[in-house]
Amino acid sequence: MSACDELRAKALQISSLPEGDPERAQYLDHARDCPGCTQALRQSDKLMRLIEASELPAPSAAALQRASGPILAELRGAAPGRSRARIASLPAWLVQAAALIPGFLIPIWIGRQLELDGTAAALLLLVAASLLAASAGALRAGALVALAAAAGFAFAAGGVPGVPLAGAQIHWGQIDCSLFELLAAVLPLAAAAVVYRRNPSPGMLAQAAAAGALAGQAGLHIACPDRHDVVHLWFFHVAGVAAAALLGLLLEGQLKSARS
Amino acid sequence: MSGPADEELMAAYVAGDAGAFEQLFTRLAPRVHGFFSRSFRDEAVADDLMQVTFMKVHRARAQYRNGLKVVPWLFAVAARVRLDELRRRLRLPEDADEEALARADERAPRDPPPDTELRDAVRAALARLPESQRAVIHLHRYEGLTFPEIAQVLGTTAGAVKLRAFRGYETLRKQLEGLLSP
Repeated sequence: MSACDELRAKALQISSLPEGDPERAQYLDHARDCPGCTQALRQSDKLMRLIEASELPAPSAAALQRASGPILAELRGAAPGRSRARIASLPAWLVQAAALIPGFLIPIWIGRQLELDGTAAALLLLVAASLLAASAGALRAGALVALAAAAGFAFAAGGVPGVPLAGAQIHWGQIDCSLFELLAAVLPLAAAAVVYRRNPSPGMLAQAAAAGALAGQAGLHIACPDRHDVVHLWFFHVAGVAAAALLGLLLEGQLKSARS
Repeated sequence: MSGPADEELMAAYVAGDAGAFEQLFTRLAPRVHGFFSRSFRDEAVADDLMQVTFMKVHRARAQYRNGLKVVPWLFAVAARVRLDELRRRLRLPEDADEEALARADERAPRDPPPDTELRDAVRAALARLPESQRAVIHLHRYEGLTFPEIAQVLGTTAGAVKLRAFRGYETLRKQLEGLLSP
């Protein structure tokens, strides 16, 4: 069998390859100076065109209606609303980052003694929280990064409760700051849970919840009357972020066991 | 293709948007129907299997992952429906895989329709192929899926799919030789 015979036997395979395929290009290079191989390829290409031209009858309107009717009826009956569908078609990272905003704004909205000097620092923390929320699922230990950010921010704002403050009292009445942070974690956690159900990745919910609480901490930096009380910062602001991360971790465990 | 991508429509459909489903269905139902029509050469069967496929897609929509290419995912569902139908027709056990079905199908007698003109001749030649080769050629030529994608859709290897396609093309070439000469 000559080299040309071998190539011609492969003409059908070559024809079925897409334009630009290296094997096809190699054949074409050879065929340029070989009329027999060109002819074999032309015949094969013609066969492919004939196959493609062999159309099938379209399904009848009645068959299409029968197949789509029950599904459409179910979807319309469920009436999920176009707004929900529109939100779902947005990129997940954008929804997760946007879900932080209410958690940041609520303490400011409710707060009576706003300290606007802290706005720049609070916005910086909000940006960090947004980045963490948007990247939820990308880092396995993302919640720890959020916790480190919360601790770093508390350190920058008030320092560390050291020896001089060893006897300081914890005022449990101030726990509302932790509750605000947990509240701020709810929306990002819910947004991340929707994504997690479709595309689970470890640590995703803990990171999203901690990022939400971090946004709450940013809001509290403007609105909390005890924002310079170092003990309050560590026991309620940082602890709120830790509690949110724990909440995310627990929910993730629940969803995981529900899937398996 | 104009308008939103299949993947965007699928994401909206999964979220409950009936309009997105309608658009996606209008786009893809004739292609799914074509796949069954080519496989079983029976419009009524193709109608039924198209309905079964979309019902299965609807029930499994929550398992669709955002960004996943919709056409191979949809045809993977259609391929399972086709497999069930073939198992029923060839009276094969439930665990018979794609290759066992292909072997059984190649042995089955075929009833070729008469060929009249060029288009009918090609359609008849395609119809004379074993179903397993016809299904691969349909996904390759009409749906534009690559051999690895077809292998994934049918749950077999790319090598087996290629072999089936080339055997089919070779048979077609022999059957249509008269039409191919210049």
